[in-house]
Amino acid sequence: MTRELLFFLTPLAALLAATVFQVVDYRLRRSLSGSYLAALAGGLMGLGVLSWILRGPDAAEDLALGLANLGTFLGLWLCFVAVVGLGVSLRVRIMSFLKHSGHPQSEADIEATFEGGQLVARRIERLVAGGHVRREGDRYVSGGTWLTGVARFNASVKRFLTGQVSEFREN
Amino acid sequence: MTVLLWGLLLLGATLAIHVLWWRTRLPGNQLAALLKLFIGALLLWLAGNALLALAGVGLGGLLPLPLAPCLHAGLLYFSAALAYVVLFSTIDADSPSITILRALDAAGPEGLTGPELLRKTGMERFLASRLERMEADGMIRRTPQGLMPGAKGSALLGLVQLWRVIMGAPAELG
Repeated sequence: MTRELLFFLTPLAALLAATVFQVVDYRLRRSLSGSYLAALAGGLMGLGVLSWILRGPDAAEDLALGLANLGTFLGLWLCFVAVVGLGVSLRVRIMSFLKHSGHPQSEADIEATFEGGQLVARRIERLVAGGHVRREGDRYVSGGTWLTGVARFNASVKRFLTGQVSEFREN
Repeated sequence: MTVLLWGLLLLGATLAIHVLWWRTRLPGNQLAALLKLFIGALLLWLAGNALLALAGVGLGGLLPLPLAPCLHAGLLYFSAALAYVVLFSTIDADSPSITILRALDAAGPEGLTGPELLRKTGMERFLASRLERMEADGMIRRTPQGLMPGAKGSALLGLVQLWRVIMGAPAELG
């Protein structure tokens, strides 16, 4: 029972290790993207060490528990990254603006603060800079990179699940 | 092996219900409905095991599971389910980059001009669309004086800011 309970706690301990690694790495190197990798590496290392310490006589059972714990840790790590990464999300930045302004804001105020008209233009420029979109004269053409593949996959899944293609109105 | 099999079985069964539900009738707030479904299945799993154990009823030697493997399978299931919710949220709320690439991909080698791209994607009102979605999700609320943070949004912002303090990251977001 004790060993089973410790195995149950292993992915949670690995997630704790991941958070500690991220904090330490970020404080040392000041790179958010690098700190995600440090968190993943630290968590996997913790998972490996704990699984090794808790190994028992049945190798097949240990492997199955190891796989279960790896899946659990990766799922928790993805959620952790999603929450930590929210700092750059437009929604959270709007929330922060509304909270710190201290009084209600009109949609026009929010549009003006976040330069609503420029948001999409800036996104297109970023895609051009990344090679995902090519500019040919006054026209934009798909660069056909892996991100286009992600877009196709995203559309297929969305159409399969919801029958819709986009939350925006597409003509 | 029990933990892995039951965790995956529970996940597979719940995902199957999710697909059937979504194909039959799309929920109004998809993320909230998905979370309720996953949490409901977890509670059902834990309660079902506890009831079988208390009643002393065994199902072919497969159930009930002892406490630790039951919790362990539940944790595997729920972490994978939460990861799915995160991935689903990127499908549910389109990223502008993905929407742009989809429109350009559909346009083929001819491509689109800037105004055509905006019209095709409907992103002339990108920010307004985001605000509508935030209001529907309870992140912000509309008052006669204007928009204000909602309870959910404030909690989420608090979590993000707390983590930034722990990390030693600058307070300003972005």
